Amino acid sequence: MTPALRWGLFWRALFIQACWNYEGMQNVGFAFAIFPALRAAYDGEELGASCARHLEFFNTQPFMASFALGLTARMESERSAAPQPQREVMATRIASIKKAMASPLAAIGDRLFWGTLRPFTLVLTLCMCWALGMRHWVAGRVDAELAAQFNFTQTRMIVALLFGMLVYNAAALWIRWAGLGHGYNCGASGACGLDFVNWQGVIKRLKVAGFVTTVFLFVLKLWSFVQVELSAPVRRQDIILYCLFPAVIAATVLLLQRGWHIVRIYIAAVLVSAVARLIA
Amino acid sequence: MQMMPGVLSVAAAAALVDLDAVQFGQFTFARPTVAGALLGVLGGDFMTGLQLGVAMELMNLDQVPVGGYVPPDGTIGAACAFGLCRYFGFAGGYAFFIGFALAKMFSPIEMKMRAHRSLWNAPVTAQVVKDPGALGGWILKGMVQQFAVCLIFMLSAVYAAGNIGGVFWALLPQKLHAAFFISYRLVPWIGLTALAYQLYPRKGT
Repeated sequence: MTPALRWGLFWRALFIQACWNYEGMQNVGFAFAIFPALRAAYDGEELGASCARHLEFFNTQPFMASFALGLTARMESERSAAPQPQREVMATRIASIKKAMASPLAAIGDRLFWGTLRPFTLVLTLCMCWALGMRHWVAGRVDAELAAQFNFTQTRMIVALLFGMLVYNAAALWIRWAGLGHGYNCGASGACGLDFVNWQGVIKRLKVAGFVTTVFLFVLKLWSFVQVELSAPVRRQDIILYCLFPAVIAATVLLLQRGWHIVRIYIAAVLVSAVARLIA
Repeated sequence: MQMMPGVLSVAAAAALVDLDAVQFGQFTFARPTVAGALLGVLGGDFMTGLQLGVAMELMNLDQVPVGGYVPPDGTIGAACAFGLCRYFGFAGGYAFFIGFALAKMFSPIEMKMRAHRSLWNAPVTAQVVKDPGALGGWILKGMVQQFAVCLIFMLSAVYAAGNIGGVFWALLPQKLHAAFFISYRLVPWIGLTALAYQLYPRKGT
């Protein structure tokens, strides 16, 4: 794959979900992304026909789509060099391999990016926010005076946010870039580049790291609470609230185990707070 | 009328940033934490923007855009909540509650847009056979549609919620106001517990 073609595929793959629809899902985005490879392989009427072929149904995790893009680019290039009688068979093969790849790619990508890396980078960002001064809110209070006490500044928080974004995007962009190369070089054989990373191992390690960091953040929150509450006149309302926290945490775990979504737990918290206030 | 430029700029920026969620890139600019902070900078109240963003993200953690599922749009929720706080003077806890509801209300609209885009498939195919370069135009059309619908939704939602919500708040017994504050203060604890639960390594993961 030439560097120009790779950059073209990479840049256009960023738009893969721009026309997401229920009938073809990422079909328009995929056809748009694969266009540089098709333009390099075909011209004239054949270019239009090959573009239209890629408007069939396609859906996978957007970062992992680069594996399918790389592979399809290679197969289209091979198809263009093949004698005319074989081309129809090869077109069918491209369509079926593309479809077959979509599900495993989505299964890995959804678990890795949506299920693990996104929450992991959130907790990393929150830890950085804490370290750089966002302690007044983590402790439960929202107070400008406290913010000043802990050197909460806009610049520091932006640094924390950029850190989280950097970690996430480094992984996402690397997968997008590397996926193109691995998909292209596999030539529709074996695991099509999917085996160049031990995905299961990566997900597991990230989950462990994320869990440990979250527990660490809990400890930091408790520390902030002690710091904040001991440095200011204690309010009765705060004491009651903080006595409730262990119960809130236990109830949240219990409800999550029973399959409740966080949304429902939050609404329940609003209702319980309202009833408690009315009774009190 | 004085608040119009402020609400308009926040809604426009949020609609633009929201394109990052699905349409372009997924660089996490549309992550409610980041979007909330960006809107906070733009709206001149960074602390509120960031807090609402973090809270919105924590509450939408388990909503994953898998397959055709459309989760509540946290960016829109954070933007609406921020608009209500900044330009209508709503308390954080109350604005968050309304923003949260608006994020959920946007999901059916998003689904309608996606269903509407299904109708484009036939004309796209017909056009692409003749002019393969035309795909870029459809991509642009999809993004413009998304931006416009988000912008209109946020503008109308913030104005409607700002006026109706303000009246409702005044009618609400004083004691019930506290329910929104307390639950808002519980959000980080509920969210972090859910985060730990989600990241807890189980067998088979």
